[in-house]
Amino acid sequence: MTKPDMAGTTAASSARKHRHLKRRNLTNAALKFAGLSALMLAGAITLLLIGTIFWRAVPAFLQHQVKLDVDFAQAAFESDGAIGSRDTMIYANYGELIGKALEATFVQVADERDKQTLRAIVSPSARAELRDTLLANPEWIGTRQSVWLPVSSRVESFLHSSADGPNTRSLAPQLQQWLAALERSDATRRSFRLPFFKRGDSRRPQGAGILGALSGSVLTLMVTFALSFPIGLASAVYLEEFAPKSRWIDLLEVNINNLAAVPSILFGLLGLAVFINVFHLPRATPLVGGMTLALMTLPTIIIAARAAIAAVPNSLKDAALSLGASPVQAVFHHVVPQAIPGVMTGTILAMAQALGETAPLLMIGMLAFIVDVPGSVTDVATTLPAQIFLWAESPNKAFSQNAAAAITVLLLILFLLNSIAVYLRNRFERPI
Amino acid sequence: MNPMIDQPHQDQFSAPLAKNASPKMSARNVHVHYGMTHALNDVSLDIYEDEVTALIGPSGCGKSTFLRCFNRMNEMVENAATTGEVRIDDKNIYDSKTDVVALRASVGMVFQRPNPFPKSIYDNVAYGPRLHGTAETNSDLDEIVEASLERAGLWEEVKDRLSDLGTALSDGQQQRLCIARAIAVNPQIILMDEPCSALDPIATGKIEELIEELRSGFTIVIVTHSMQQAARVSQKTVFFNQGSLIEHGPTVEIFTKPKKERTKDYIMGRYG
Amino acid sequence: MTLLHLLGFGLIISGSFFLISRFRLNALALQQDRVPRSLPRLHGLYAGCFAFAPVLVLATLWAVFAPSVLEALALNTAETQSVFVDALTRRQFLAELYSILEGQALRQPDPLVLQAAQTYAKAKAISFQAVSVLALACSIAAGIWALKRSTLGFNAHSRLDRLTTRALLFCSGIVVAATLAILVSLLLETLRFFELVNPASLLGAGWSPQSSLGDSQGGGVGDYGVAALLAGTAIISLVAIALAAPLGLMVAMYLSQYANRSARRVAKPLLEVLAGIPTVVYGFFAVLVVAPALRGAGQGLGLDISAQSALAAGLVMGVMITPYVSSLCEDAISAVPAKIRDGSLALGATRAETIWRVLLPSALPGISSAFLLAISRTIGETMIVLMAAGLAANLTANPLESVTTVTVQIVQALTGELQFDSAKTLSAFMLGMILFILTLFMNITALALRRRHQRKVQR
Repeated sequence: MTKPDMAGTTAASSARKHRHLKRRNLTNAALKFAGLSALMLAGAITLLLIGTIFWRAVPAFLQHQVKLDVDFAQAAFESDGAIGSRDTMIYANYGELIGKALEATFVQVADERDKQTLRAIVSPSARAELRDTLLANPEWIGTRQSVWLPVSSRVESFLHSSADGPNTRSLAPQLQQWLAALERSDATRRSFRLPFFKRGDSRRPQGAGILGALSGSVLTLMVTFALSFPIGLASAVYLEEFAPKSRWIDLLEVNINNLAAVPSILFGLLGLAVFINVFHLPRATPLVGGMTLALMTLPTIIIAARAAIAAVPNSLKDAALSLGASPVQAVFHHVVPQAIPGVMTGTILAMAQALGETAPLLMIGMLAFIVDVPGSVTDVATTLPAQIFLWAESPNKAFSQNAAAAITVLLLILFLLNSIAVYLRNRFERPI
Repeated sequence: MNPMIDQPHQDQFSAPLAKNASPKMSARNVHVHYGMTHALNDVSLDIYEDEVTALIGPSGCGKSTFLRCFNRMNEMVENAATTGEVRIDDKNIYDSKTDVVALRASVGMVFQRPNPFPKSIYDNVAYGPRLHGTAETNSDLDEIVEASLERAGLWEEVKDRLSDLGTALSDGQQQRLCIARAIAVNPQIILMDEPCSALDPIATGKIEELIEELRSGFTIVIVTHSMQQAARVSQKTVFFNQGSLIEHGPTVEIFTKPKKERTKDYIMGRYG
Repeated sequence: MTLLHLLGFGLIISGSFFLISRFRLNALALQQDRVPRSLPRLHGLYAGCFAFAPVLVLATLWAVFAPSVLEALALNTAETQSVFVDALTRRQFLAELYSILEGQALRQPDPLVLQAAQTYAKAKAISFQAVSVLALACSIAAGIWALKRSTLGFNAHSRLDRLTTRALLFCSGIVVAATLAILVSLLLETLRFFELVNPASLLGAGWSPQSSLGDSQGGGVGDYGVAALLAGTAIISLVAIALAAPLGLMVAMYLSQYANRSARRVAKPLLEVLAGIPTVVYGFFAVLVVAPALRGAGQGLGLDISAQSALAAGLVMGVMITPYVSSLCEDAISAVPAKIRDGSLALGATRAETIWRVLLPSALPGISSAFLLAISRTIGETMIVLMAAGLAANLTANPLESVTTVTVQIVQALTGELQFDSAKTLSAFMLGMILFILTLFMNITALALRRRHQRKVQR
């Protein structure tokens, strides 16, 4: 732009212009950089959040095991002359079997006190696991089998922290020696902790699992879906296709938009005051939880469904009407089927929101120590986020690891739900 | 093929107020308002069986509005108000007792843009008969579908792929599918709202042939932008301007010796 | 027989009416050799709907009104009537009655209550049987009436249309019912709270609710000064919005004006991930990472930062609402027509100047609406503050100290044994009312702002 062969004054002014332009471009670049850094910061925080939680969850998913030669002597399964009946298998003293197997591995240990210490290598939950294994293989009675059994929580935390660096103060020196001996003979391994997905809550962090909370969540969501999907779709159809233009309908729309922004905890208060205090529905059950969450998700679903219905071209409805379909028939035969993928996308996202919701469920008592896996919507239950909250509040570090593991599962489910929603949106979002 | 010189009908119309044929449809003093807009102003017209009536005029002249009075599709528009009388077979369809659904079953409509349902070709045509329970058995339904597609000149092209999506056809085929769909309900009247405006000349030609074939058996009213098309397919032409009916009569007369100055100007292409 | 059985029977009856009506119409058509005006299956549906409606209505009415009527009945027995001194003993009596009915009575029940419970159970059984018989009878009667109406000339489809439209309208009404239910339940329990606590005491300084058993003497109720809770909520919200507003606006601006397609394709899902993370996870993150890190940093700088500081909770909450703010701001910015932006760029303005002088001013109402909605969300947020903020009320403006919030105290009041006659339990509803009014006010303002903005820029 600048021309060097021009007069001096012009050159000076053009140089000034040039500087000015440079400064303007610099400001622009600075703003762009600021925006990019804000985005990067958000990304970094996301990574940090997910990373720390996943890292924290590792010990809850993986568990150290030791290999023991367990002698399933017939004598241990004898009662009233019958050997190996189901009852004897259930009530046999597995702790003793494990203890004997440990003593057989370390024959050099003679002192009674040391023997007690030795038994502390294996987790108390190993008894139940051994029982379940034997129930699945009854032919083992009278034989000697190599079995992998989980280590106790103290040994576990010692082994896990020794991966980061030596940590010698937490465990008795004898135990450390014995563990080292087991490791030398390849009798230790780290494996996936399947029981975490097969159990309900427990007082012991190692015995605790998420099956109870998971089925509670599934039951609650089933109730939520069964209520909010049909009602939400019906309201959306009415508002989009049949509602007359009137002040009342405007008020209804304002109402829906505002209800979508009401804090979720207030829905919990509503559930408590109405479903439990007035209708006397059973407290802390998926039924009440699902009804409460249904009211919470309803506005979200209605808004999404209305958008999906509005996106269906009018020509389809016109065509059906011109063939003599009634307005209701035209809408339910042509408009609604076309809108269903969009409605489903919105519903799945609303379900994901409901799945992660905790606060309203605290209000109706779905925050309790519950060992049993709920089987129906009227059983007392807890849900995955509530379980996470319970575990996270515990001062025991092992429970906090369980919480991190449960969060990992929850995030994976949410990710899956969101992917399905995105897939549906991309698959069906095509011009008609 | 020149429908402009169609002797039998020409005779019928040249006789003023033919007494032997009562009109199939008649409109008397029809006004349509969209809110504050006066879209149609005091229109009266008779339309006869077995002939094609073309409605022509510049954009926004009310010809489509008038067409939609015959199956009460105007009611789909927010705050539309229609006054006056529209009679089909001497029954006022704006009577409060009239069942709109039954009315639309006897008055088919073809839209400006082809609008097949996103279903199979078969299901598109079968939709109406299923709705009205016309077919007793599945083979009856098959017959209706085949006959309608045959009548719409589409059967040969689609008979091997009836389960394909109707939306997968070409534009011209889609429009003929829409006509087949309308025929399948067995209406007495077919309204066509610029059926060729979204089509290429070859597809347009096919639709025009089809209209000519359908003339016996159906009363056809067609709105068109193209005066050539009106001249090619219709026996009677009605000229609208600014919401009013300016002139109507046999197509030949309208195009050769229009009585009104404005009609003449429009035909000559002075405006529109 | 339970409610489900009743509904099941209703379905069977209405199903039979569907079939009867359908076949009857077919037979009529054949007999008179006339085509029916509406399809036989529509006649069937019509009769079926009519037969099912009484069952549905009566079952719903019973579920809604039976508990209160039965309660009144159980309490009205002459022997029990003299027992009640006031509304509170009445509530205690009912609580015990329900624990007996649900088989969860902890101690040997009072004979009076036991008797009332038996009356209740008996009345419940009898009344339900009566309602069931009535419902099924009505169902058959309605079915027969519908059958009588459906002749060949009967216009079943327009009747069905009307029924369907009404059912749809009813579903839309549920949303209104939900709002009203929230409002009424909050209002009733709040009024009950003010029966126990003088409204003027809300202006006091301390917050220490006590769950004294129905003891309405001045000292036993506790202190209910909401100022400390509101201040705590405000501090945490301020910290959160101070982080989220600039961050979210920057991200929105970058994504809408600078980013190319591929950058957007990476960034959008990332923000969606961030937005979809449940709040309990953010709470866990705050406790696990942010609070200890802040405490460590504070020690390095010689500051004493509480382990449950408002700062930690606020910062994490800020991260939580950042995607929300950025997506709302992006909507506001992209609502400004492209021709305005292009006009500015064509005059030689840089992107930054266009954003600063053209886009932000015209998107300002939308952006302020976004901030308002975000603040309303932070006020109502529960899990993060429940896990990361304190439990004790503390009237301070220092974000490094531990504070408590309205939502935390709602949860606190409702954990443990619930006593709907104690001021502590009822205070949750009073706080809920405050929360509802606050957020409703903000949401209405924000939504009105946004709607006006959209209308303005679209014109």
